[in-house]
Amino acid sequence: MSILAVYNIKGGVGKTATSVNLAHLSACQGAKTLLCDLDPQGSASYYFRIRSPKKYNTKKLLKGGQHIEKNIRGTDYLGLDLLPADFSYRNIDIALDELKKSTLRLKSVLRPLLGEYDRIILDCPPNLTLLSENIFCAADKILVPIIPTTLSLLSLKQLFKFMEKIGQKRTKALVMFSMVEKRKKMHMELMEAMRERKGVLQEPIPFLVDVERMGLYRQPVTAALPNSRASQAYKALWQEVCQHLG
Amino acid sequence: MEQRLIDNWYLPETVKPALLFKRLTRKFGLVHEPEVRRQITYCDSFDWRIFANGYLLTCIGTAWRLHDLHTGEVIIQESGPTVNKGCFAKAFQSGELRQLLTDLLEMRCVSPVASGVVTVQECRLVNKDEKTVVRLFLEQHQMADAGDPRWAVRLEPVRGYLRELAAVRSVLKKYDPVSRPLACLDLEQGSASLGRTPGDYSSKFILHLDPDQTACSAVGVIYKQLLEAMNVNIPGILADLDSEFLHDFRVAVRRTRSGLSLIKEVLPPAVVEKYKEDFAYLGQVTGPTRDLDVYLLYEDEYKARLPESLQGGLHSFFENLAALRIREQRTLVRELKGARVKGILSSWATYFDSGDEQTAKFADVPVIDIAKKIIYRRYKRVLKDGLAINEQTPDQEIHRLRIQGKKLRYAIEFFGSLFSEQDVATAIKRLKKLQNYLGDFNDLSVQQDVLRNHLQGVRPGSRKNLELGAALGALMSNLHREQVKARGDFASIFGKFSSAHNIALFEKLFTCKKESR
Ligand SMILES: Nc1ncnc2c1ncn2[C@@H]1O[C@H](COP(=O)(O)OP(=O)(O)OP(=O)(O)O)[C@@H](O)[C@H]1O
Ligand SMILES: [Mg+2]
Repeated sequence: MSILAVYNIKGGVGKTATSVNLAHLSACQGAKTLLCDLDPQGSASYYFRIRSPKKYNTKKLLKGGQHIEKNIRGTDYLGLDLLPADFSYRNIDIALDELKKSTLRLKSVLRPLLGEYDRIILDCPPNLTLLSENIFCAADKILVPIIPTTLSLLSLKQLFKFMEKIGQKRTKALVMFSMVEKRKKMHMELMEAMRERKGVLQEPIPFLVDVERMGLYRQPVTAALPNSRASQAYKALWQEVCQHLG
Repeated sequence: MEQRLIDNWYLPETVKPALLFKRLTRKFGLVHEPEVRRQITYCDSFDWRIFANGYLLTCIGTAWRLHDLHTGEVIIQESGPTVNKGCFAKAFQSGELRQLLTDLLEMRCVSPVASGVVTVQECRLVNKDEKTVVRLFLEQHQMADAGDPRWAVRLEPVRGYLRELAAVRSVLKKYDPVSRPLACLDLEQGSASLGRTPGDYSSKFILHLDPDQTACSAVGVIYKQLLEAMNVNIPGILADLDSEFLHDFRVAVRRTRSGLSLIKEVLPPAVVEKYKEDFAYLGQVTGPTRDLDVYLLYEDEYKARLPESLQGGLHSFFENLAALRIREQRTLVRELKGARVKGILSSWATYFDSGDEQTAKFADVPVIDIAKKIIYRRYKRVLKDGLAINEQTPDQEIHRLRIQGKKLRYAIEFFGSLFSEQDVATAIKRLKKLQNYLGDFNDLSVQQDVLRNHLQGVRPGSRKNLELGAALGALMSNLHREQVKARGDFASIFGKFSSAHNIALFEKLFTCKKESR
């Protein structure tokens, strides 16, 4: 039973692609899994063809309990449910700020769901905000996809500094390589150098057209093309993540 | 009480699946998954232990499932052996299913009791985003040799799509709801084609006699039922499925013999004499195989009685027994198929069907009168013999008491239905406690005799025989110690059986007080 957040300060690094595919693999393994789409853009919900329920919004999320449970939707895959995002999430920081113990709110609404689900995966929006702080408190592990470039390293440093500031251990973070392009020398060199470090996962997700096309067929690539290279990469990554989740 | 299964309907013969699908396309997109066709086999022991405990056991290839009988839900799902004429719990890999089967089946095996083909077609109902909102399963069950197939529709909801579910339900609500799991109906229909009904056999001896019935007609009921028990067990003995077929057969023979000697002058003496001899013969030809079965069933227990270092020595002992058993089983099959056994069983059956001109002294008295007399006499005998046993009495007397106890038990079982059910149950329960003790005590000495006999045939010399000797010796001393201890318990066990309280119960039940009838 654990909560895994997929997070990075930077946008467009493959957070949603990763969380959607890993959630599907988790359910395939027989673990009852809930994917929470926390990004107001709702990309994860879109991949599963699930629309935000009419009466659902930030307030309901932060109230938790019944208000969340009523809005969870079954995906097309057995054992995998999704809590859709709502556009109102874009102002979630303001809503959080108004609450007491504002950094622990997400944790207190998500933890009870572990009674029903073996695993909860959070697809997070980019940026460093009060929501991010909530996410760090709620999650048991934070999976951080990075594209191996020098700029990514910079934002990774920022992230660790932020974690330190809010009193979170660095070991909560698991760094993974995303959208890796073999033909780019810098990608390969940086990856080799980083791999030595603690908390860095070995299995990379290459840049692959099949992943990019997920937006077209609106399914996890691990469901639509289970034998593709992309699926294999996600499976290997998921195995490695599982070892860290314990 | 029959509960209704949620979201399960029969599809009437007149409604073609295509029609149903067409109806649904008004509201949903339909995505048909490939049809899955499976040969399914339902298994149970001959005495329906799976069914009697509220389960169903199915097998598709090597995939075994244990279902809840009342909901059809799968409780355990594991791979196991390919289905066979007889599968023991031991044939399964260790796991939850094997554990449960071991506990339920004990020495029994499961065999196919029904089989057929189940075809399942999944159809996903999708909304305008092509998102699955309800799963619909169309099932066709066709049991072997059992007439028309059964069609049913089952819905599986998708969380959060209640409105869509309600819409599908409203389309289906005009069909008949399925009130019991299809698997359960399959079992009934499929076993009927093999001439069976779930729960139709149990080794329990349950009779319903009427107090005013004549003694002669009552014994007819008793003997016919026992004969039936013999006959239904023969195919299982011949096929050598498990050891219980022979055991139940022999119990029925023993009960019959007991009846012939306990119930006097109800059947003509010449008939009694003839069949006493005939059934003694049946007991005799079935004895050797049963004895070997009993020893073979001890294998695990014997190993548990020995330290690990000596257990290996038993290997050749059991190998030897198994080889002997194969030979004895062959002889037994020859006997059972032979003219003499067939003749005994068929003439006994015709005797009751044809009626006899000769009659006996008590043939026409009400059965209740002879029942009380017989049971009470047996009871007095057990009490007298038991009370005569003290610490110095030889073990032989305890064995005799066991035989007397058995006779009493049979007598009560023959006529139990004539008395208050509750009181008879209590009396049997108390007697059973004594019998269990006597049975265990007897077992301990019989086992020591067997081991001693075997040991005498072991020639010294080889390493293997040395180990065998050591194992047998250790076992004997272990059994002996237990027997000595058990001997010491006799007084207290019999003391309970002969308590004032117990005597009062038996007297109340079985003495012939004038005013009682
Ligand atoms: N391994 C990959 N190979 C090819 N394209 C990928 C890969 N992973 C993600 N993409 C594509 O890159 C784009 C961004 O990916 P994704 O939405 O997963 O990133 P994100 O970090 O969640 O972005 P955001 O910060 O906007 O939420 C998408 O179009 C996606 O299809
Ligand atoms: Mg995203």
